Amino acid sequence: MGSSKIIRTIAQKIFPFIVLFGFYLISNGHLSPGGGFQGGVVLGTAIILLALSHSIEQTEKKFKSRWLNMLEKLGILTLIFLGFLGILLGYSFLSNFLPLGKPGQIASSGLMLFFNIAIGIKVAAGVSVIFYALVRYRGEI
Amino acid sequence: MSIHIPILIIISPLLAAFLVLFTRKHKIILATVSIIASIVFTLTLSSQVLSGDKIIYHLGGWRGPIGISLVVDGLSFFFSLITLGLGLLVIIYSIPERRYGRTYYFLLLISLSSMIGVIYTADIFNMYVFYELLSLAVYLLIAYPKTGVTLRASFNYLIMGGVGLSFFLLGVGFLYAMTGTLDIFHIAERLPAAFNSSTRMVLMSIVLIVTGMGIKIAVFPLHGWLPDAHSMAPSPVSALLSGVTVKIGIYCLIRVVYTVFSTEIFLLIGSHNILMVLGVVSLLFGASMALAQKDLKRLLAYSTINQLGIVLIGLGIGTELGLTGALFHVLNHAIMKSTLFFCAGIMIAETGTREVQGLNGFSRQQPVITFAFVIASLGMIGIPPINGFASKWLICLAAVEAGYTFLVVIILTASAIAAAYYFRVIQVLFSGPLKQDPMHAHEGGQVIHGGNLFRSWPIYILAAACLLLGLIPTLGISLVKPAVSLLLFHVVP
Repeated sequence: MGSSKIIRTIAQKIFPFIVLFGFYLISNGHLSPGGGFQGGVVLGTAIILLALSHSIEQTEKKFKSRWLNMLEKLGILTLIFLGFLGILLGYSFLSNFLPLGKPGQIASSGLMLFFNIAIGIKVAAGVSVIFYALVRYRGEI
Repeated sequence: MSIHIPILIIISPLLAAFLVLFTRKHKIILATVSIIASIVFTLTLSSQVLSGDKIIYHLGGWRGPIGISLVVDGLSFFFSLITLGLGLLVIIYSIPERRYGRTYYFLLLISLSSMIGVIYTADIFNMYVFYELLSLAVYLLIAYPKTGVTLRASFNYLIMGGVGLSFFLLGVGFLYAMTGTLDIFHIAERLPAAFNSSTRMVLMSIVLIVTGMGIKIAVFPLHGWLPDAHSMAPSPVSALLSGVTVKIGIYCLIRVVYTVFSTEIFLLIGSHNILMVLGVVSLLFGASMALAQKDLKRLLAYSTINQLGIVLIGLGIGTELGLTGALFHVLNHAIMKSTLFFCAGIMIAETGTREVQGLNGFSRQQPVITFAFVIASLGMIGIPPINGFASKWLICLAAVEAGYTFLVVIILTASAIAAAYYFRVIQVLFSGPLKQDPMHAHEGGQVIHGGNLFRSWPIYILAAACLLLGLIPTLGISLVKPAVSLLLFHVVP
């Protein structure tokens, strides 16, 4: 791709911060605005940014679409599994079985954090896989 | 474990859907087993539901207006049985087709699971979410062969369906603004007060929801997407669309009209007249358009509009007999139409043409399939020993009882037109020798065996069900009874 050196360098430098921000949104979803979906989209955008500034091929070598596909399915399966754990432990589906901590801390809302992480992984993988698909099938029908 | 059955019915196909994506060999086994598990779970609830209990499950342990609850009562049990039963047959019917990969089964399972979600949920916004999920899966299923025609049909449906569901969502928004809750039963409690203070808001929400569902049910002026979508989709998907997916729209309409807005408000506004007029118009329109079709599956698709008109008339009459007839006709139409679409799938694969005229001599080649087709189409017309007659008869009786004699005339006229177009197909089936080779190559360059076990057995089962329900209609009516008394009297006998 023909993007300039400035864009490539800045994108590379900014990449870890975007990822960090995405993880922040995911892990603080139950405390502040944000959550699994929003954080996941930010993570996905980080990969899209790399793909746009560098070449698609280079990015696909780092983030293989096979693995991203797998991660997406694993995310949703984790969510369903966590829901089932509620039934198995004697509560109802998707109900909380972890201790509730002190309000305001990261570990304060039981299962919510894990749900957010599962959703975040799924959305991040999903967004980048959709982007790959759109780029690859450009111009074909 | 037995308390958790309502959620297990939804989760089992959903879980299987994502597991299917991991395997290549066991996809069919996984799909079949998950649907059978759901059916077994549903049947364990049957004695409780049919005796009049209402099973309520609170997701995550949150009750009432805060959380989402699942409700299994007479109405939702009836619709979920239709959905799961036909879903299983559709999966079995698609087994011999090698072109259907993992994605196909994934989409099929997702759509079945979200249909059960729409049926069981007691939260009206959750209903919207499940409906949108169902629609997305269905758009992709229609476009699955990836030819130009299917893509166009699917995109057309996508636009129309999106508009329809937006109308529904807007109506839900009005309801939420008035009552401050999204739980169907809480809305029903608070709505009479809201109706007295702000009548127009209630009217507006009814109009929006009926319009939105009208697009999904394809009543006459809003039907544009249906003939393309139902006829271009692969045959098992057509059967699913015509047999089940459209019925989910009818379920939502019944749920919203009879449970959320109580029957009193409904009659006060006079909406039952609107339903009746819509029913009559789409009945006549569907019948006369089907008469003009040359494409077999397109004919069947227009016939769906025709039959849904009858269901809407039954709902519009709104008496006990009318509702019984309408719900019974939902069941009958689901069985008959999927038989016809399954048969049409085999006919198209064998003769290699979609034209009605190209089916010459099919009866000599596949006598049993032809017999099943004849039974189902006689049912569609409404000829006595078949199930379609029983429900049409009930609706006609209800119309006479309620003083709408002209409706009987219209239904009979439409039946006569239906006789005209179905007998045309039957005549072609029995006439003339076959022009092509018996084994004809399909578009994909692959020979399909019509006598395949997995293809023919679903048809035999459905045709037998047609005859059984026609000879002993009490079977179907006893299934419908709890739903009707729940809708009209809010109590179960």
